[in-house]
Amino acid sequence: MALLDLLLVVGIIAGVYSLLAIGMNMHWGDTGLLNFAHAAFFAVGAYTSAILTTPTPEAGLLAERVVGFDLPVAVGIVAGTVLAAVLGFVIATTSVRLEGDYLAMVTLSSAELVRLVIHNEAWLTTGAQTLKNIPRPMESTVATLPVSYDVFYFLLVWGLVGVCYLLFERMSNGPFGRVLHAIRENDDVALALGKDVTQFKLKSFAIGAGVAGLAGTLWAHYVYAISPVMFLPSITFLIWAAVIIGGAGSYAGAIVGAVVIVLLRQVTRFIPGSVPFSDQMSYLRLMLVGVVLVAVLYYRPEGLLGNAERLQAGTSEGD
Amino acid sequence: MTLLSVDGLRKTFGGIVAVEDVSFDVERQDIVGVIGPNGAGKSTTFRLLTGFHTPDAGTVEFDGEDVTDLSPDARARKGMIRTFQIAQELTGMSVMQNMLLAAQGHPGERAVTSALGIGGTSAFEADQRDQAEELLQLLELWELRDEYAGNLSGGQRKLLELGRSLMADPDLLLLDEPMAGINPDLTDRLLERILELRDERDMTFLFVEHDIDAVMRVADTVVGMHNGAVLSMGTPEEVQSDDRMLEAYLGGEV
Repeated sequence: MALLDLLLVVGIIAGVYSLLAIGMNMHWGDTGLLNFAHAAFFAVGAYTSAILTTPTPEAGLLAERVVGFDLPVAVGIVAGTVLAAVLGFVIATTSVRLEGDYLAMVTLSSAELVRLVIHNEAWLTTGAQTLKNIPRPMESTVATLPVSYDVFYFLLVWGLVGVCYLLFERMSNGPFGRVLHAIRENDDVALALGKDVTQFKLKSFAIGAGVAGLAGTLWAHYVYAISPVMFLPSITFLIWAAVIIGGAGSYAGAIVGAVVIVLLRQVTRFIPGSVPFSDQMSYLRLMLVGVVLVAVLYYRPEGLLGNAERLQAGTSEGD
Repeated sequence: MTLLSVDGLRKTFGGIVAVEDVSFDVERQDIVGVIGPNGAGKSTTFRLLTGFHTPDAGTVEFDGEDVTDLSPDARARKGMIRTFQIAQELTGMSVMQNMLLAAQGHPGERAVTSALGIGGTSAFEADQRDQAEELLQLLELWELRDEYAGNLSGGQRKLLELGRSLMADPDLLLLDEPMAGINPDLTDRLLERILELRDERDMTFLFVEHDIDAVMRVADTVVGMHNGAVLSMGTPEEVQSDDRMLEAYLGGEV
């Protein structure tokens, strides 16, 4: 049973990462926006929901936080999603008119800014310390059922992944996605055909950020306790790797990529400490992601589920 | 009735005056050809009209409204649709998707209606597909409807671009060298089609063109440019017989 329990945990993490990858795929895969702020949307979702659903801590030596609302978890999840979308909208408003590389720089620094605010505003977030005792949704109800809480949470997370997958697929394949794809291919054409490019980019950014916020809320309510070090830029880079490995532009690919990344990260955790170079193992584990990424780009540039034909057509010059 | 009124347009890049005091009117259902040798300022004028450049001075009025400060997309929504000199296909999208993108006022272009398929999205989409089919048949691209636009030949891309701009059902269609790279047979049919569209859909055309023959055949009015200014304007015959235009093309001083 121990193995099954472990798989459930890995599965839940993979579900959370899948949601992050779905959001990133809307930004990069559909719209061609270089977003390096994903960790911030993840963090804002997690902290918003945590602060709203925990009571105000009692005064004590370490309890710096003076705010807490003790609201139902459902409220926290919705608020975390919405606030992350708002943050996405705000960051995009300042930067979305920038071209590729500059957008990447502004989003990356915005994300660090958000993390530092969380780190420093201890009255709100407990600062560098851990924000603890985040409630799990329906914990007492699930306790009366013959299944473990992880089974319930696994189904909850993957249920939401399924719903988001369907909605994002439909957006991507519908007229809305068509405009996003046009922007990805060529801004000027979209403008010439009367599409308000900036508005569409803002929407894309906000929606993708929102689903990353949802992932953050689900993460916070699963792990009980969160701290700023969980939201380093490396999360953003892992999600980038997931989207590229899975195949940019494909939502199924984003999910597969996220699962691959989580498996790579979690399975290698159990390499015994007695192997050579075990001291360096944590870095080697991160390097493994890079190796897989390079291998995919070399042997399958469109990604595991990406569209090779489109990539081919996109680079041809005509005659 | 005047549809487009251009008054005193001026544009400089650094120390170079690209366009100087360009003024002309386009009447409704007119076909206006803008000609001139390389460097005459045709393309800059075109970009000023379509909002891709902002003029240093002068105004552009469309349908009685000052659009000088409007962005390209806002002008397009008012019914001024442009094409590009080098066909700008969305190479990673299918021919059909390229066509459907041009639909104006599509209810499904909102995230929610697209995700949930509500608000008349599918009915509108079906109607647009019918229109796209008709145009693609005409342009002999129907068989290629599911092909990525990036796989089309240069001439086919040009045709697709024309078809896509017609999908937007513009009042004024601004064409940047539409005939370049298209075989003469097809050029003839396109010119015929332009004449038909003018009557059927009450369309007005302005095109910048190197193919003087094509301009002379269909244009009602020709605007001849040289060194960033309008040198000669009138019927094709008048402009053609204007010695200054000949001089301009031959590189003489005027």
